[in-house]
Amino acid sequence: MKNFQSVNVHRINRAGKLRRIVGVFALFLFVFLLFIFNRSIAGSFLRFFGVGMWEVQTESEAVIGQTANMVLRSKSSLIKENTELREERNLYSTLALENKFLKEENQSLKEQLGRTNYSLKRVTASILSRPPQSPYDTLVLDAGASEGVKDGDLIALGSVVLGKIVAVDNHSSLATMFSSPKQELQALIASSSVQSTVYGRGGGNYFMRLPADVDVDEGDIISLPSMNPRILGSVARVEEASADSFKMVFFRTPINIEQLRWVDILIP
Amino acid sequence: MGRYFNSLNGFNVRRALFGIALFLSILVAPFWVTLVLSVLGVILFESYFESIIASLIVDSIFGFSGSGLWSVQFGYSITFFISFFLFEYIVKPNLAYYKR
Repeated sequence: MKNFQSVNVHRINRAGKLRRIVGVFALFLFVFLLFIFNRSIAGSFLRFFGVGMWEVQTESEAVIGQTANMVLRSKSSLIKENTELREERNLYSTLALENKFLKEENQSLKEQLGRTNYSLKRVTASILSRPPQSPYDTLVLDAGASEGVKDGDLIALGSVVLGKIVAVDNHSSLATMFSSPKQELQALIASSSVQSTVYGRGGGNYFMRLPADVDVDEGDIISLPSMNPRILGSVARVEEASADSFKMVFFRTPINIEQLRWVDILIP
Repeated sequence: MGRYFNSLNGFNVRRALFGIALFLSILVAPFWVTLVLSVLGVILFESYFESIIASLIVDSIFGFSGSGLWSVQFGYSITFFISFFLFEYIVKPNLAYYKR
């Protein structure tokens, strides 16, 4: 009887070991297949399932936020905020008019120089997922190939560019931020027209290394070299050591990514 | 307690619930929550392969060529995969807690 039990235990142990080996082998095979076949297939398939859940999450967060605002805030604080927002709106509508005037003037000047064909189609896309949900500073957007989105299209809000599309599915796409730590791109300092390499630092922050004699101050606009206004950010800090022949320029995007709900995809 | 968590024979409700929380966290929670749950899963349960699958899903959904650790799309998965096997088959058998 004892011998029979020990044989059974031995068989169970062997079955467990075999099951583990099969599991490990299946995992290796899965990883291997992911590498061998098109890497984007797995991503597209999984994002297809994620889109529905992210849409529900985005909507419920908005509803919960609004409800909490209504319940938790006092009437007087709401009146005060309302007055401040009205004042801000008046200021911004004046600035919007000025902006429109300058844009039209800019366009007519470009037309005089023979550069008329520079308009881009804009597709507005909702942000379904953003950092810190994504470990790689990427955004999942709810517009894809069906809406005309392609790999490499820029994403922006107004004139501020944020990143570019890196993967396109049927009704969703994946975008990376230019401010991601491994990103490098060429940019211009608007005030001096000096072009240099910009490096991402994450969270909407960038830095560039410039010769010490280049004139750059806090608040200067940094943009992509283009006929269209494509602003990356404005200079926040300049670090210059007297013994060094270079200076470090730190700048950030004016947009708070965490509060952003929509972006425009610029389609050429 | 340990035996309860480490049981692979039969249906383990805690393991299943933990797995659901792990996979849901990929879509609705910050990445560090997924990472903490994955590490906890490897520590609490025996052969917690779900954490490797979770790392592959994270890399597939949010990663792209040149984005991951060591600039490899599945860099995080590979790192987790190696760490998992080192911990599961080299560290765990030598820890007194798991010998009980």
